[in-house]
Amino acid sequence: MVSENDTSEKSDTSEKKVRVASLARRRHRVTRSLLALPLGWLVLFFLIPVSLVVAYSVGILETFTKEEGVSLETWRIFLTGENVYMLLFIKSFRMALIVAVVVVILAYPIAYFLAMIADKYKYSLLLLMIAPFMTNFFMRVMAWKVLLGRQGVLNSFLIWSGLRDEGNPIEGLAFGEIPVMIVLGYVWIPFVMLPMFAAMISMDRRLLEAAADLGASRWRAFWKVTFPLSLPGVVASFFFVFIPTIGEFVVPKLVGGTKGYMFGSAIDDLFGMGLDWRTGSVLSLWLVMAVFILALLFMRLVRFGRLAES
Amino acid sequence: MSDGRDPISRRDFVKLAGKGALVAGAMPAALAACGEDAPPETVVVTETVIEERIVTETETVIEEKIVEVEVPGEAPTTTMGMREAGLAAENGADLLIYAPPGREVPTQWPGYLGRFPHPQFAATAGSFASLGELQLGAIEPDIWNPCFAVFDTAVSEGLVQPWDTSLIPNFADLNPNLTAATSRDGNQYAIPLLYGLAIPIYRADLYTPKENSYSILFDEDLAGKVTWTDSAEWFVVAGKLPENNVANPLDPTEEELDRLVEFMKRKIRIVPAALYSDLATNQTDLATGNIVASYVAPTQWIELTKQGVDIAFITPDEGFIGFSCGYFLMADADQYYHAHEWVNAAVSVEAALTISNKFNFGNSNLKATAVDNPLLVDVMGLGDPAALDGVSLLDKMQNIDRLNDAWIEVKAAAGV
Repeated sequence: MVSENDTSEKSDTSEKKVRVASLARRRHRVTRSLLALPLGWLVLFFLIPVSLVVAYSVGILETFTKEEGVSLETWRIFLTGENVYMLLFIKSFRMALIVAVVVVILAYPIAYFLAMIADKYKYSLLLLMIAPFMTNFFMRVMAWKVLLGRQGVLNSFLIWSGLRDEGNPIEGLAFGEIPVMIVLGYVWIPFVMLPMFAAMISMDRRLLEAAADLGASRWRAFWKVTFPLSLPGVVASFFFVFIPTIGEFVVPKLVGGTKGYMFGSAIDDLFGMGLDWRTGSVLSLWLVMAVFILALLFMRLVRFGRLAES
Repeated sequence: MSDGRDPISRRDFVKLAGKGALVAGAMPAALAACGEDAPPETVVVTETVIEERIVTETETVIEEKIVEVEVPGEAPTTTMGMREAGLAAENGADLLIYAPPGREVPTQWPGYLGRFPHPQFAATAGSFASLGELQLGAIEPDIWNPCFAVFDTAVSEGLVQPWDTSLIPNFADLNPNLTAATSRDGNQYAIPLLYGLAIPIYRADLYTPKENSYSILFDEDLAGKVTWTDSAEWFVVAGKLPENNVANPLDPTEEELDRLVEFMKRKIRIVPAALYSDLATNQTDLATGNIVASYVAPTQWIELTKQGVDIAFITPDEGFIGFSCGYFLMADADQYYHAHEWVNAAVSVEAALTISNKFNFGNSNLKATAVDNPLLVDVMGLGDPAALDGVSLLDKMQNIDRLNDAWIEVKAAAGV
C-alpha cells in the first residue's frame, strides 16, 4: 500500500514539476519575444537588403533593360582583377588599416589618462574632448581644407618661418591620400576613445594594487594587468574606425581629389552617376564579406590571446 | 492575364476623360445653337468609351475603345478645346516637377501662377542620380528637368513620353538645333530650356596655348594646373582630339572607348586636386592662379571676366562641345495638360531672359535676345540657330551608361 504521505509527496513533486515547466515555458516565451525585436530588425534592415544586393550583383534584379541577364560575369571580372576595383580595394584596405592603427595608438593614452589619472575631472575632460564634435561634420572637414590648402594655415606658416620658399608651398596637402587619412583620424579619435575609456574605467583597481604589492613596477603592471584588460576596448575601437573607413566616400569626396579616391567612392559613383548597380552591388558585397571575415579573425585572435594569457 | 491589349494608364485615363468631357460639354452648346424648327445638324465625332472587362475572378482590365457617334452641332475638335477640358479634369495642385533647386522660383515660369494652382517641386541631385531614382520609382513626378546627356537612356528605358507640341504655343520659338537633338522618330521627347558651350579657358597672363584645341586640357606642361569636371563627357572631349582618331566622339565604338580609357588614365594624373564639382572653388583657383586652365560653361568665364581676371577662352578647331537641359514629360504623368501649360510658361521669352540674365546660360527661345550681357550674346550667338551648327551636343550621346562606367574606372585608376 502506498501511504498518504507518499501520495502527497508525489503530488507535491508533480505540482512542482508543472510549476517549473510553466515557469520555463514563460521564460522561453519572454526570451523569444525579447529576441523578436532585434531579430526582426536584423531581418528587415540587414538580411533583406543584403539579399537584394546579392540579387542585383548577379542580375536577378536589374535597374535598366540594357543589362545582360543573370550571370556571375561581374563577379568574375572583379575577382580576377580585370578591372581596377580590386586594386582600389587593396589601397582602401591599406588606408583604413593605417588610420585605424594610428587612431587607436593616439587615442589610447588619452583614454588611459581620463580613466586612470584624471580622477574626478574625467567626465568634464571627456566632455571637452567631445565638444568640437557638436559642430557640423561638413564644417569640420572644410576647416581642414583651410588648414592644409596651398594658401592654408600650414603652408602660410612654413613660408612665413622661411622653411619653404615663397610660391613653393607643399603640394598635395589639400587633396590626396594624406589629407583623407588626417581628416578621418581627426573625425574618429573621440569615438575611438570611448570604448577604451569604458573598458578601463570598469577595471577592478584592486588588481593593480595586488600587482604593486607583489612587486610589479608600474610599467609591468600596465603590461600585465591594464593592457590585457583593456584589449576588448582596443579591438572594439579598432573596428569602430576600420569598418567605416574602408567604405568611406564623403571625406575622399571633400579632400581626396583624384589621388584620394577610395573603394567607397567607387561604390558611390557606380550606384549614382554610373547607374551600374550590378558592379556597385558586387563591390558592396565584397566589402561586407571582407569586413566580416576580418572581424571574425580578430575575435579569434583576441580569444586566443586571452587563453594564452590565462 | 490579358488578351494582349494593354490596360489603360493613369495618364491615358485623364486624357480620355478630357475628351469625354469635351464631347459632353459641346452638346448643350450645340443644342442651344439649334432652332426648334430647324432639325439639328449632326456631325460624326469619335468618342472614347472606357470599358471595364473582367478577365479572371481577381483581375479586371480597363479598355479604351474609340467609337464613332453622331452628335448634333459642330465637332469640337480643336486643340484648345481639348486642352481646356483636359485641364478641368486634372487637379493642377498635384503637378510635381523634379528639377534642380531654384527652379521653384515663379519668375522662371511666369504667367502660370494665378491661372493654375502652385505646383509642387522636388529637388534633383544631378541628372544621372535622378535617372536612377526615377527608374526605381523612388519618385513619380510629372515633369523632370535634367541635362540631356541622359536623353538616350531616358527614352530607351520608356521613362518619358513625347510632348504634344500643339499644346505648347512657345515651342515654335525654340531653337530648332536644340529641339532636333531632343526628338526621336518624329516625337518631341524633351523641351529644351537652356544650353551652354563647354569651353576651354586659360589665364592669358600665365600661359600661351600652342593650338586652338581642347588639347590644352591634356597639356602635360600644365600638370597640376588644370581642372576637369567630374563627368563622362570627358570621353567626348578626348574623342574630339585628332590624335585619338574617334569617328563619332558622342558614340565611340568599343575599341575606340578602350583607347580613350587608356588615354584618360594617363592624362588624369595631370589633374592635381579634385575633379571640380564646386564652381566657386574652381573660379577662386582660376582667379588666384592656382589653376591655369579649366573646362567651364560660359557662366564662369563671364564671371571671371567681370572680376577683371585676365582670362581667355579658346574656340577649338575641332568644334565646340555643347550641352542643353530642359524638360521631360514622364511616361506616367498624371497632370498631362497642366504639365504642358507649365512647360509653355517655362520656355516663354520672359522665362528665357531670366535664364540668360541671371544665370548666364544660353536660352532656347530665339526671341529672347534682349539679354543684358553682351559677352553671352557674342559667345553663344543667342538668337541665331546656326550658332549651334557643328556643335557636338551631349544630348546626342549614346549608351551613356557604358561611358559612365568607363569614367568611374578612370577615376579609380587615378587613385591607385
